[in-house]
Amino acid sequence: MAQNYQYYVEGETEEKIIQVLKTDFQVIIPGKVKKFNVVEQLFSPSHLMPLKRGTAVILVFDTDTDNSCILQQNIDFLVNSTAIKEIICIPQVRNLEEELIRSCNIRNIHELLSSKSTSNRDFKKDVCKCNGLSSALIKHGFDIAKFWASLPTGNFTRIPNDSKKIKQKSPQK
Amino acid sequence: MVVMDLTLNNIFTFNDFHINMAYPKKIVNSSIENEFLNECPNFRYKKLIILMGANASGKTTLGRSLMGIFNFISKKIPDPVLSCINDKTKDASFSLEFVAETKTLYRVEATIHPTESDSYREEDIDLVVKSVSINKQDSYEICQKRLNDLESEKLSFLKALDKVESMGWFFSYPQPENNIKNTKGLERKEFRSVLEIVLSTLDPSIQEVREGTDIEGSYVIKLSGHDLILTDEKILNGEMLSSGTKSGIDIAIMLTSMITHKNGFYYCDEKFSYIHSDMEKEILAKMVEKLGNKEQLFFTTHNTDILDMMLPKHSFVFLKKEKVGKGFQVQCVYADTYLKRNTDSLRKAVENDLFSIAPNVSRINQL
Repeated sequence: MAQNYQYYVEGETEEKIIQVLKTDFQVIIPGKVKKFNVVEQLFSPSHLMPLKRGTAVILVFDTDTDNSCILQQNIDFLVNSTAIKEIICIPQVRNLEEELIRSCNIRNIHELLSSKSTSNRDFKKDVCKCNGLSSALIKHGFDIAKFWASLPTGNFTRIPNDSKKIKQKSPQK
Repeated sequence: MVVMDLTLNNIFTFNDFHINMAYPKKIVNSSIENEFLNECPNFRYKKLIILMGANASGKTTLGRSLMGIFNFISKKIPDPVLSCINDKTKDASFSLEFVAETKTLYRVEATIHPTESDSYREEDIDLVVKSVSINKQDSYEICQKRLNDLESEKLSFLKALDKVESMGWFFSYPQPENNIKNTKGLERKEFRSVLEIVLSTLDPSIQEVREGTDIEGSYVIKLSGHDLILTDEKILNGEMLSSGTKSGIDIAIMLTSMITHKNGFYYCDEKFSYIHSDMEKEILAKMVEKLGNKEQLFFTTHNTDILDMMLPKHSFVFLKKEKVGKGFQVQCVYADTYLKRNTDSLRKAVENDLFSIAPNVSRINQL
């Protein structure tokens, strides 16, 4: 088992969610989090330099795009890096908002934080400003078993969903 | 003096800020001995608080806030606190609970209202002092409840603060080049000896430290053929010393104060930035060993090797600054809230950012 974990997530919203899941709920393996869109940007050696040898890299990405080429290149790059012990893929089907709708008792994403408009953009803004994300998730019956549980489709079919590897059965408390 | 609880509002970056220095249960075989008030074993307080956190998370300003409040309480002059207010158009407030020389728990609560004139008047400051005696079987929580039950007496802050006994403190912050904390008031023989040990450990070419005879209150540091003169607040020929060795002078001043139990409350703010990690660990261990009854040390550092020291988990407090709405909020994360088992590794938790306190480094990749 790796001693260190590094998350790469698409945006600030995912950063906030992971913070709640690892710290407040303790339902996923803790790790440092960096904002880096692995579906759109290519890793370079300097990205991996600060990592400790033997780190497990957790890639969290949306699958609501047609192109998975860059993601595949990034995975190949990480596979060839001797410092990386394991690559854990977490495809969000199709994005974070849809994952949250499936794992909470809400029909629209704006219900989670009582956002003023129904747009995903406003939801993201509200998450970033919000101080009570964990209580909102609890209030809406967030179920970690249903989160990051779907398999991707389309161009991402070949990408595995390794979320079981990072979900913790019970909080450490 | 021991600080038990502090809340801050509109003081520097602190809004709705709260830090508490009690810990819930006795630790068996703790590496910090007698972590409670003398003869009051249930009154448990943290003798050591290791403050860690990203840059600009509030480690230094927490010290400056405390220093401002202590000066206000002690000198009955509000200016040291007024200079800490962030937004002068809004109310600022603090509440401090502490134990000074006698077995008394004090609570000083103050609200400073905005003023329309150029300077603050006495009536702009509402201040309440409450105090309860600490009995043999009392815990902090029991005393705190008794404080809550007391009625507030409406007095001017000058009269209210008359009820507070005197307190001692020592704050040490990183100093500008060649500036040294004042050595006046230290026991000269003790300081010379501590200084010699610290400096010659940091730099083996330092042969001895002598008390100076030509300049009153000075010390002579003998460094392979050169004599460096340490006066009250300056070091002459300081460029001969490495940055780390220079820091050693301030560290020796603090250590002497602790060894002679001169001040009781100590805030050591990033004094070890230029010093080897092994040295920092050794000196911290010595500082903890020297802490006596009703004494307390706040120690800020970025050195993650400190996490591996055999210290109770409740000693570690992380400051976390988060964006909330349009502003920022600093909050305390207590390691022992998350790590309950003896076998839980604090270092592993920090390396994997269990507490969500790691600095956000994502933007560096945009360079």
